[in-house]
Formats: sequence, structure tokens, C-alpha cells
Amino acid sequence: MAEPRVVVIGAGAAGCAAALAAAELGARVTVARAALGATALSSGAVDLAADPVERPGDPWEGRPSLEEAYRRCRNRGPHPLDRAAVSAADAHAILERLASSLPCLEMASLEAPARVLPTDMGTFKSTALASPWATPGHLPDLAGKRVGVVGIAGHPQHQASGLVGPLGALARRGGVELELHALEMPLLRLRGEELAGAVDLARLVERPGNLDRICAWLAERAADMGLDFALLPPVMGMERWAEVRQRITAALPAAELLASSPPTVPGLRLVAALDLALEAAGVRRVQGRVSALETRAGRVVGADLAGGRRLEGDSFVLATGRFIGGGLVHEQSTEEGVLEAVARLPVWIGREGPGVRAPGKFMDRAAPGPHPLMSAGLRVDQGLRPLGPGGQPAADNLFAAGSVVGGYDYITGRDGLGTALITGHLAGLGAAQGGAS
Amino acid sequence: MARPAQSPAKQFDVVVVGGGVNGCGVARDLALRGLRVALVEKADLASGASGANSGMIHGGARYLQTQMQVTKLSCLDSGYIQRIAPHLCFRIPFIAPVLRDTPHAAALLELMEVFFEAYDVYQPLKNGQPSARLSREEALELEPGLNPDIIGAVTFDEWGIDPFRLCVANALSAREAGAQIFTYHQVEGLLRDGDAVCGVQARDLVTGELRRLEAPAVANLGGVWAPRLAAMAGVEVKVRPGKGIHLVYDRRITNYAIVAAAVDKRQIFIEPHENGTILGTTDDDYYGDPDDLWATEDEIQYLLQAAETMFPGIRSYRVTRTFVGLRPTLFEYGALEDHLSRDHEIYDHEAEGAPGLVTMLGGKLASYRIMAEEMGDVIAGRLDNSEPSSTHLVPLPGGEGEADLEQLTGDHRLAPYAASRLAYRHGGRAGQLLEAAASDADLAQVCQCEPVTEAELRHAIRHEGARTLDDLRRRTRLAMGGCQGMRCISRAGVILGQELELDPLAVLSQVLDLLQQRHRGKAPPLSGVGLAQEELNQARYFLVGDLGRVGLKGDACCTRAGTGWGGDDG
Repeated sequence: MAEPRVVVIGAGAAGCAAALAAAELGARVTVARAALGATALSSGAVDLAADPVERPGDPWEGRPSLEEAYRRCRNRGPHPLDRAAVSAADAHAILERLASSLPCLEMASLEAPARVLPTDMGTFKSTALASPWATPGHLPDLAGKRVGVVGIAGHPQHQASGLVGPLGALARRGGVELELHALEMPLLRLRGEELAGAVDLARLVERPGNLDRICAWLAERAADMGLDFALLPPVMGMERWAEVRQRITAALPAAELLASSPPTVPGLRLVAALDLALEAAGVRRVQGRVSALETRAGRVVGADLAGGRRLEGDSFVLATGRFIGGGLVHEQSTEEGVLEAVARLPVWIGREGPGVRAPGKFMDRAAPGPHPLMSAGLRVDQGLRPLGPGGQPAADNLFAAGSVVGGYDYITGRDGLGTALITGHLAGLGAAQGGAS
Repeated sequence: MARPAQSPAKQFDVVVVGGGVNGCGVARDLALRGLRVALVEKADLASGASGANSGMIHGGARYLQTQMQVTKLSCLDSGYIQRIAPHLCFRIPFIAPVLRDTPHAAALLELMEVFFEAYDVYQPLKNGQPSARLSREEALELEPGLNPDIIGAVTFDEWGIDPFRLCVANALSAREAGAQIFTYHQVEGLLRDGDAVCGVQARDLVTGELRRLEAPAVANLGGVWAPRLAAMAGVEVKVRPGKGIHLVYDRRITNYAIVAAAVDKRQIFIEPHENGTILGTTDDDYYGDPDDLWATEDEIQYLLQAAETMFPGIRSYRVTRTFVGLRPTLFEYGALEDHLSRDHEIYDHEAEGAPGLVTMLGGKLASYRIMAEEMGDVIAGRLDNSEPSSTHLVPLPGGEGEADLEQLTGDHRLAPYAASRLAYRHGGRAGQLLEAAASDADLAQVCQCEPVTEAELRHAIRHEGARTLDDLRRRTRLAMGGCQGMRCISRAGVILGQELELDPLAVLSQVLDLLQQRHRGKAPPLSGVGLAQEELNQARYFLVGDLGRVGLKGDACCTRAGTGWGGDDG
């Protein structure tokens, strides 16, 4: 039997996980990527589950294990992880396996609570997987240390002075006393570059002279102030982040803050790492936006790329994202409301079925909590096949993964990219197997 | 009956209640006459209807058919406002096309031409260009997005203004003339001496402290909230709150303001305004809570349907938000909303047994100055003050001279666009504001959409009474641009925290408050590519920042004690 051909549409977290899973089963995989999407704009950290019964201000100690938090999150409506009946152990195994091939992701233990990492907004975020450049910032590990919070002098997006207060206060409220000192790093010349974005800054950091100066400056501050640790703005290196990390931590143990403001360097690093993993797995990558699928006798046979090209395959995975990725579109000029962009499959919004179209009527006054539109998307069966208008899978060999699948709000539900990676993996397995049958 | 004379025993001569354009205008008018004025506002300046209108100092063309004198006065006053605040005024050329399928289209176009020729008589008063009749081809060349099924158009000329800055400028001018300004002060009762109203009791909503402000005259300029103050004196004033919504676009989408007719034949405008476009407005009776306003889907569709008759592509542009205000329209029974008078009335409540209390209701932004002058005449008369009003002669702060753009871009190295926006908001005082900047970092742009520098934010906190992030938004247009505060809000929070010495959690609470405030405007029209921006914003603040779970509500009060207008104002 010939190797099945799998076409994955979308190269974010979900699409890459699908491609890697299918390739592992021996499929010949092609990934069509249109542009950078939500994965590239993310903090680079991957969430699996946030304890839904956790209350604001609860102490950090005594939080449930990741496994318990995951268990509490399940059976909550049309979430695709419930549809696919993914256990905590399976979820963990999938993420751990992916993390092992991605140097920018470090898995947390299932038995321990999620990591609590400081953000560049002066808050803490609990998360399951994060870059080794960020994980040493885990809140309990900072207790008892003299920590320098480092900003970039003159850069409005990276000012340490505004972070020390809220980080200290939130930690204290959670029962952890931190000793934090704000430092503004004067090394990057910013005259005329005040608007330098995160990526520009990351490249500035990588320049050999700059990196030397940063290390020397940090070592000097460490000696002056008796610092044990530094929290750095999330721009510490682009492609060469691992080397930058090595050099800096040789001067002073340190971690990056989680990046909140897009474009984010850690998000771009994650995308780059996923791409390298695809390359290593022999996945073919094609640049272009898929505009339509061709279906014959209940099976998808081809994906049309802009410019008249076409990708043929035995099975297909839609991993096109939600609004940022362009998986869901809303053409105000038509009466049709929110549409799935490639296959024109029905979109569910909130608890409403696909017949309800105008998005405006979903306005939610419980500001600014979950907005029904933020969990809009496809519905899937337990094999992650998207449902067609009749409530049955739209095609035997079509799968969907990541945030193009609705029924969950990854933002307020705080299951970030975890759901994307897990559903991607499962959809990839399904596609490799489904295509072979 | 003897009028109470100016009473040195009392702290003030007049307490003005209401920090909208009318309250600020009256406070300024009276302060310039030499009276000692206190202005009390329960929230921020321009936080009601004065900040939620079409932002126009128009000439009242619509009154030409019925009350020609009103049009003349409106045009004259538009000219005055341009003279006292030239920096805040910008020209808005209008185009009024006629659709081919309009009944008697050709005759209508002729009529419109004659009508606007009559309006042209008054244009010199407000420095307006005369109207022009355009052929179909000319109209389409000037405004290619117009519906091609038109037979021609007429142009006319109006002036736009930033209504927030207008209020702030009036308040600042009043303050410079000795007035004291108390924002975030809720009036809880009137002080009485027998029947006479002799001041107010106001709760400082920040400190909880109760303040007695004594004065022989109280001016009620509470807009739709005016009946509440009147009721405290046992008198009734009636307003008919008229809800009006606008849609805001992320950029300028037309060259001209375009006039279109709604399904009920009301006129609506697509209006290039500041660096965006606004589409409005509706006019509907409102019976709900004036402090809890939301645009509805019906109102949004009403505007879009009207706009697309003249500008068919309107739905393909990105709506960033809605804003909603309540007109304090004079009460009238039975009439349709659009037929209600836009006139104003002054009620001296002496005859009803509450001497000392005077209420003004109705009116519109464009006539705020002349209305304030009339109200000033009534109150100054009560106080035996015979100084004439000088509000049409004395420049508003910033209007004394022109900003030196070369200095702003040269000496202060501000980006040209940032300099021009700063000069727009602060006129001749823009350079002064930058001179106070302590370091280069103060010139960094916090909000890149508008753009707004750190120095301007600090200035608004130190000298313009900004207490909250939402106050900063009103004064600088922070977070009002295309991204709706994706990057700037947390940084602005830090600056506010530094200036007001806020508790760090109170800063996060401020950030959350502004996000919630923005959500009110953003949620109803959420659509199109705006959905991607919303996903991005929410991911930043609630997925990564995790602000939803830090539990800030009910935390320590958000702002420092004091009135925020440069310390305790003596």
C-alpha cells in the first residue's frame, strides 16, 4: 500500500502538530502556510488547563496539580478535547512528545501545579509549557532571591520600573515575598529607535558587541547589588536565543519575562522551531493561502491554492486558526455572517447553531469576559472531523484542529496553545490513518 | 425682591454643577466676569453627552427654513469659537448628493442648491467656503466611493472640533481665572438657608470625604442628570433624553463628509473626524439608566443601511467601536424625536420656591458658548455683577498663539505626525508642554495610533485633572485608535501610577477598568477584521496578562486624594 498523502492547511501550532503526527505514521505530508498567525503572536508559552474553580487572589501554594486542573476543565460543553475524549495522561504524553522535539518548549510535570511565570505586563501567568528561557522565572523559585527586573532604558514597552510594584504585590497576595529591584539597561542605543519593535530589539541583542556589553553590565549589577537573578525583557535573542541565554546566564542566572505584546519574539521562536521540526520530519512546506477544497463523493480530493496551484491528497487537515489566523472570516458586506474561510463549513457561535449569522446580536454585556464570538468555530465529531450542515462529518477524510474548531475560548479559558497542539496531533493521526483506509 | 449680593462670607459666588461643555462653558463665563466659581462633576469632564456627539461646531443650516435668526447666531458663534480656539477647529467639507431614484430628484437638487446659497450668506461669519453645485461626474471624481446612481450634489462647509479638548480647555480657562474644579464629586444635597439655595454638599468619590461648597447661586448644568439636582430642591425640570449613537472607523474612509438619509428620512453623516471617521447619529427616546448606555444592533444597522445608500462600500470598512450619548432635549409631549427643538431654556427656580438655583437645559455643542453667555447673564444678574461676558474675546488655553511645529520637530525631535497632533490638541502651548519633559524617555510615544507621548500623558495628569486612564483617553485620545489600546494601556497605567503614587494593584485595576470601558463601545459592533484585532487584544490582556484572574475589583481606591487640578487648589 502506498504511503497516504496528507495535506495540512495552516502552519501554526495545530497544523505543525498535525503534520508531525502524520509524518510519524509514515504519511507523505504537505503543509500549506499562508502567513504568520496566532502562534507567532503568542507568548510562546503553551497552556493546557487552568483550574476553573481557582479564584482571584488565591494563594499560589496549594493549587491543584496540572492533572487535577485538566480534569476539572473537562466535560465543559463542546470543547474539542471533550469531543475527542482526551485524558490528562494522553494530553500530557502528546505535549511531552512534542516538547522533546522543540527546544523552545519545556514540559511541566503533570503531578505538580502549572508553572507561574512573570509577564512583561507585571502580572503572573500560570502555564504548562514554556521556553527554558522563561521557566526559571517560576514564582516559587524566586522566593528568597535578590531579583533584578531589567528594562530597556528609553523604550516605552520595556520599562522595569512599572513592573516591580505589581509583580511584588501579586506575589505577596499569593503568599510569596519577593525582593525585586528595577534596572533599566542603558546599553541598547535607542535614539531614533524608540519605536523599535521586539524583533529589532532581539536582533540588536544578538549583535556580538551588544551581547558582550549586556553580559558585562549584568555581571556588574550583580556584583554591585548582590543580585542572584535577573528577569529580562522577552527580546533576548532571535534565532540565536539559546546562545544568548547561555552567555547571559553565565554572567547571572536569569529568565525572560513572558511576552504579552505582539509581535512577540518567543512566539516567533516557537514558529521557527516548529518549522525546523517539520523539516527534520521531511514534511513538504508550501507557501500560499488555500482558497477552496474540492469534494467528490463525500471525500475531499484537492485543496486549491491562490494562483491556480492545487494540492492533492488522501486526507486533509484544516488548521487555519480563528480570526487572527483567518480560519474564520466575517464579510460585513454580505449577509452571511461568520464563515469558515476554506471549506465554507458551518460555524457555531456561542450556544447558537450555525443558522444564526449576524455577529452583532452576540454582543455580551458582561464586559469583558468571554464573548460568544471568541469561541466561534467549527464543531467536530470525536474523530475531529468537522460537521457539515446536517450535523454529520462534512467528509470522511477531512479533519480540523486548533482554534478553527470552536466551542472553546482559549483566551478566557486559558488553555492557550495546548488545545491546538493536542487536537493537531490527533487530527494528524486521524488523517494518516483515515487516508490509508 | 432683593437679590443676594456677592457674599464674601461664602467661599464661592457660584457652584456650577455638571462638567460637560455647558458646565465648563458657564464656569468659564462666570470666572471671567470675576466671580468665584466652583465646578462640580460626578465623573470626569466631558464624560457624558459632551464627549459623545458628532464633534461639530456647525452653523445650524437646518434652522434656515424656520428660524433664520438661529442660523445667523450659530454661524456667528462658530466664528467666535474658531477665534478663541483656532487650534481645535478643523474644516469639514460636506457633500450632499441626490440619488436618481429620489422622488422629484432634479427639483430637489435645485432646491438644495438654493437652500445652501441662502446658507452661504452666513458662511463669512464662520469662515466657511461658499457652497458649490456638482455634476454627477464631478461628485464622483471628488468622492469615488459615492453611489454612482446620483444626479448631482451640493457641497457646504462646516467645522469639526475635539469635544473633549473643548471641555477641558474651558475648564482650564475657568481655572486660570480662579475657578476651582472638583471632578469625581457627586452632589448629595443642596445647602439651604430657609428657601434659598446656598450651595451644595458633594461627596469626593475618591476619598469618600463630604465637601460643603457654599455659594449664593447654584447653576444646574447636569444635562440628562439635571432633574436629579432640581429634585433635591423640590422643583421639577423635565428633559426628554434622546439617545444618539455613532460608529467609529479606524481611519478616514472618505474625502468629504457625506449626507445620507435614513429609512425614516432623517439625515445622517459619514464624517471624517480627527484621524478617523464617524458615522452618526440616531435619535431615540431613552428610558433606561443614563449611566449604563449601550448601542444596540438595531441602531447600528439603522446607520449602516442609511450610509450605504450613498456610500455603498461602507460595510467593508472596519468599525472599531460605538459611542453613545444622551441629549438633554427639552421635554415636549407627543412630538417625534427628530422634531424636538434643539433650542435651550433657562429656568430660574425662584418662583418655584428655590431661589438661587438656576437650570439650563437643551441646546447643542455648537452653541455652547452663547448659551453659557446667556446663563452667565442670568446668574451674574442675580449676583449684581455687571461685567459683560468676554468668552468670545479671550482665547481658550492654547488658542493664544500658534504652535511652532519646527520647534516641536527640531528642538524636541518629535516625529512630524506626533508634533502635528500635539499641536492640534494644545495649540500655542504645545512647546511649553514638551519643555517640561524631564528626559528623552518622556518623548517616547506610548500610544502609536494617535500618537501620544509620555510627556503629554504626564501633563494631562499634572495640569488637566486626569485621575484615571479613561480621563487620559479623553484628554489625549489614548487607546482610541485602530488597535484600541493593544499596546499603550498598560504603559499609560504605569505612568498614571507614578504620577499619582498609586498602589501597584490599583494600576492594574485601572488597566482593567479602561479595558471594560472600551469593551462597552467595542462589543456591540464587533465584526469583520475587527474580530482579529479583538482576539489579539483579549489574548494580550487576558491570556498572557491574565488580568481576568488577578482579582482587582474592590481593591484600594484607584486614585490619590485631592482634586487633581494641581493639588488642593488653595
